[in-house]
Amino acid sequence: MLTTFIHTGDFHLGRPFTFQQQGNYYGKNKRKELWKAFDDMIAYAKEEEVPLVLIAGDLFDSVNVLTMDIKRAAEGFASLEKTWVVIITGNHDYHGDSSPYKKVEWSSNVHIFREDVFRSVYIKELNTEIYGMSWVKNEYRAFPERSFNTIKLDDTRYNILMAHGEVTNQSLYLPIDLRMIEKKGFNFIALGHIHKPGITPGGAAYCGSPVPLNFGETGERGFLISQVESDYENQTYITSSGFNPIESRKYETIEIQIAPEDSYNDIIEKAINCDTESNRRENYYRLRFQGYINPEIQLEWINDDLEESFYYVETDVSQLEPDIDLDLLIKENQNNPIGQLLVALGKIEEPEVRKKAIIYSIEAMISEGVLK
Amino acid sequence: MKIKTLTIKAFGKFENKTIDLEPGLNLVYGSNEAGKTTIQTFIQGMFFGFYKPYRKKKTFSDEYEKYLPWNQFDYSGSLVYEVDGQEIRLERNFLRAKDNLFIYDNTTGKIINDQFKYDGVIRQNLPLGKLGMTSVIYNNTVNMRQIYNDTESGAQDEIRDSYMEMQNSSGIEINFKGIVRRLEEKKNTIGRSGQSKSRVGAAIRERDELRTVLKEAEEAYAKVAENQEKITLYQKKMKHIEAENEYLTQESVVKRKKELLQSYEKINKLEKENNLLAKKIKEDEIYEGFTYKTLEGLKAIQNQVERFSDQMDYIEKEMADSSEHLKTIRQKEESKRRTMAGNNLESIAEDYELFKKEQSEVEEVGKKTNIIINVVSGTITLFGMILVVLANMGLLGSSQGLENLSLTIGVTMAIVGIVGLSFGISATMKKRRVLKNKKLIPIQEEILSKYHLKDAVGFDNFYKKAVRTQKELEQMQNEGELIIVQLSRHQAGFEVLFEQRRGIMRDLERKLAEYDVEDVSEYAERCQKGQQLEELKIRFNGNLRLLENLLETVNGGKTDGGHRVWQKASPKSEELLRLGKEIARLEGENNALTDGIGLPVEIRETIKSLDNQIQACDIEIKACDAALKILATIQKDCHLESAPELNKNIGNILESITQHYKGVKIDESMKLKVVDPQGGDFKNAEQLSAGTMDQVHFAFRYGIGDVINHEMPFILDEPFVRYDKQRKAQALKLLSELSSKRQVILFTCDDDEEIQLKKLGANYHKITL
Repeated sequence: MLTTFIHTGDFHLGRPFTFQQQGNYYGKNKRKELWKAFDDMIAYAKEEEVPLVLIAGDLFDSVNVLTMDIKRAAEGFASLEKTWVVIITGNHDYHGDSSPYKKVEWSSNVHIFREDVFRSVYIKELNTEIYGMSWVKNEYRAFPERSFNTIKLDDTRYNILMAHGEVTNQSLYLPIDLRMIEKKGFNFIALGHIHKPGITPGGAAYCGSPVPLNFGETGERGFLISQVESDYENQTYITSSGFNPIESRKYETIEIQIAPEDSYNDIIEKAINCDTESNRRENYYRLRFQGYINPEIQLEWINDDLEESFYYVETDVSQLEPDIDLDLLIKENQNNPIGQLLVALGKIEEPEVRKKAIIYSIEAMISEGVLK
Repeated sequence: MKIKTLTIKAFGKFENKTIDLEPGLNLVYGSNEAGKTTIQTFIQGMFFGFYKPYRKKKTFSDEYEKYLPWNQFDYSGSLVYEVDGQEIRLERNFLRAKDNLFIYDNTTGKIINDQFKYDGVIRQNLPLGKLGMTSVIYNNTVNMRQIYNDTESGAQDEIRDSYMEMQNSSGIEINFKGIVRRLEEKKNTIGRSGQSKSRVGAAIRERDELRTVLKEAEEAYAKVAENQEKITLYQKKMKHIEAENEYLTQESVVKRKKELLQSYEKINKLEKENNLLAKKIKEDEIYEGFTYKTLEGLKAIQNQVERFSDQMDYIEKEMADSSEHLKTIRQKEESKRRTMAGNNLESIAEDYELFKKEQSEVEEVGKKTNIIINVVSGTITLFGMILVVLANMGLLGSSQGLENLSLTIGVTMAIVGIVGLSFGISATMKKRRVLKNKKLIPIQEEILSKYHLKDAVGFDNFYKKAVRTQKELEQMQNEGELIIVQLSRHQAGFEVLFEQRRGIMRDLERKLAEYDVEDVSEYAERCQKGQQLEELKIRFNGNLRLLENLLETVNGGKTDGGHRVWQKASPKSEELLRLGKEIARLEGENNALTDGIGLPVEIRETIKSLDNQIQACDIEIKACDAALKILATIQKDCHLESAPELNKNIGNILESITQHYKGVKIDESMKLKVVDPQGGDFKNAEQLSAGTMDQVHFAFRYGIGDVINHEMPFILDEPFVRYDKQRKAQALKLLSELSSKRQVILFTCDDDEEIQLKKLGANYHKITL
């Protein structure tokens, strides 16, 4: 009889990360965090004697992940003597010619679905039947509906569905019709792929990525833990799911308003005041400067000045405008070469290049006294 | 335009101060720190506020802070001016967050803000908007501030700014070279990819090196992964073999193995044999359907044919014998007839009757007995033959036993008959020979002579002989006839037999043809082979059953070759050793492969970071290049346009002040040049004295007035500090002349200006701060 189980996935073990500087250093640390999350999950399962762990795809980030990483994961699962582990693959670690799952031997408590149609594994001692579909290629434009429709559930068992895809109409990543799969009557639907965790009222859940993977992934991270109770009266099961958070460095995107009268030091100060020191030493920061900046201030080297106050910091000045009224300048210089120059600069196609070209030109003109 | 009243509520050091100005020349006198520059800045501030130009967001300029009153609560004032007959009052609050401007019609007292151009950035109306006057233009033209920087280049900058403004206003050109130079400097600080010293160059170099390293690392790790996959596979195999070996070394298994091997050998043998059998069976399939029963039937038919043939042979022989016999009889008859010398017995008998009337010694010898014997024998023979025929015909109908019996009886009877017949015939012959020896005696000479006989005895003998001969002849006749009868009977029997035999033979042939054999012996041969085929089949099926049973024992019937049984059955220590070695080799290779090689994932991350840097620099470089390209195009299109008239005007002003320099020029690189009256060459401004530079500046500003706006007052702050008296007088004279057309506001701390003006007899309005 199944009492409790863990639903997780999207670990992306062995993932390469993108950082604007010292990518290898931060990348390595980030990968350590992925392993920490994995180890935490394993430790939890061991300590609480959780009888079942579901991995809803993308355990590994790619099919080229290092064998030692695969081994490490396999060893982790093998250490769970009282736990069944059921794995489906996702778009990142799909079963192909160089499937990571082929490279090492998995312990007997691990069941890996290997086909891209729905198959099931019945765990007698838990009276639980798990239906799952794995990825065997890197793209699915349609849900394997035919295979899904052949599923006949045994109501006396606890039935779980596992799939890795997107709840949407159209997608290259296995579009899932939530209403259709909910209608089938599964006791739990363990989904993967979307990195933001969430549970629908119909019993479908995205476990989310246990560690945020980029600045887009905010909010609490961890794995789902579900309790199962039998409802003898209605001859069914009651599943209650909760979130078990895993501590990791967060990604923070902070918008900082810059005013034209702000000096360079003011800006540095504003940037540093964006969060507490302890947070700054812990998390990843993307400081997004907004507003208007004195055109005489250049922020190109600002990272160097912020570095020592943060664990990791990157700056985004794309939303920052130089405090120059280009239209007015052009208008007032309609009939002279300044106007001509500014008009021509305004026609540069690439916005980043255009912005910089204008700033540099105005800077040069101010230095040359052409402009005040 | 004329400024009439300045009312300073709070500005810099002033509080509630009112200054009235007159049209014409206003001389604002104040000692050092009296606030001359403050007043001048106040006028500027009243018109424009203190905002940075060309900004998208309201930004206060440096002056704001500078003139912010100490109490910082009030920062405002008003200014009344007259333009085009209308008196306008400006009321401005400078204070940040409260800054505003109200424009009043000073006659009606109405707010007339909406009649003026509105600036969305500073959110104020622009009182001088209609005149096209901005703070920049104002400061570069009509408002001539004190030159704090007393270095020559500072003065030159001022002059150049004025000149620029002048050119801007007259649509001339800008300092391309300077801008280009600055942009190129900028670009060089970013660095180009070709320059390895620069930041971006280093990044590109590092990235390119890393790309090579990454390629190597990826190859190495791909190989490692491949090896690892092999290792895993080998380990799996080893585990499997180990488990198998363990199992195989158990006693029961060893025993079972032995059995299996035996079974396997048997299987092998049986399979071989059955293969041979199957081949043979296939070859001998043509012998199927040949039975011994049919063979018996065929043989019986053949026997019958043979029997008929035997009988026919016999009859044929009989017939040949009879014919021979008949021939002999006929020859004997002939010779007998010759003994009668051409006379027949009747004539002889007549003669003999005559001769021997009395002699009637004729003895009849009974011969009936012999005839009877012959008749009985003939009948028996015929009956026997009939029985034989009947027996043969009976083949089709009656039982075998009865047929054989009647056949035997028939044959026996025929033989007995024939024996009896021959006995009868030979007895008769014997009697006749006895009769011949008897002698009769007739006397009659004639008769004797007739027959050439000597005596009656002779005649008697002759007669007897003749009779005997006659009798013999008759006997022979009978015998011949009997033989003929026999012959015809034989003939008939032969024909019957022949027909019967032919029928049977046809039947036999038909049957043989049916089995496609030449003769019975061939059928018999085939029959034998068919028998053998059956035996083979039985053996084959027996083997098959045996095989099935054995296979079942060997591996549940799921074999696809006995070899597996063998391979499975032997512990594989060599294979284990080989796999172990191979794993060790691969692991060694993997260690060597990854030794000193970075992780591809980390290299990739470093490259990504470098890419980011390079891209950022790339944008900066692109921006510089784009701006430079545009500048080059514009510069080409725009030739330095000298403004001869303006230059001439300025030159005249300069000449009237200095009484020396005549012309000025700004060259392409914005360097100021002055025409040296001695030789007419251009002289670099660097070579001029500070005073002369100020004068050139003044000349520019004075000259520009015409170009810019005739209406605006000319405001000057301590312009003549570095002038000598003569030149100052000349400049003041020019100002005095100008004041008839434009309002002039001259700030000074020197009494000398007033003295000079008085000397010149000029009108002026003096204000003392």
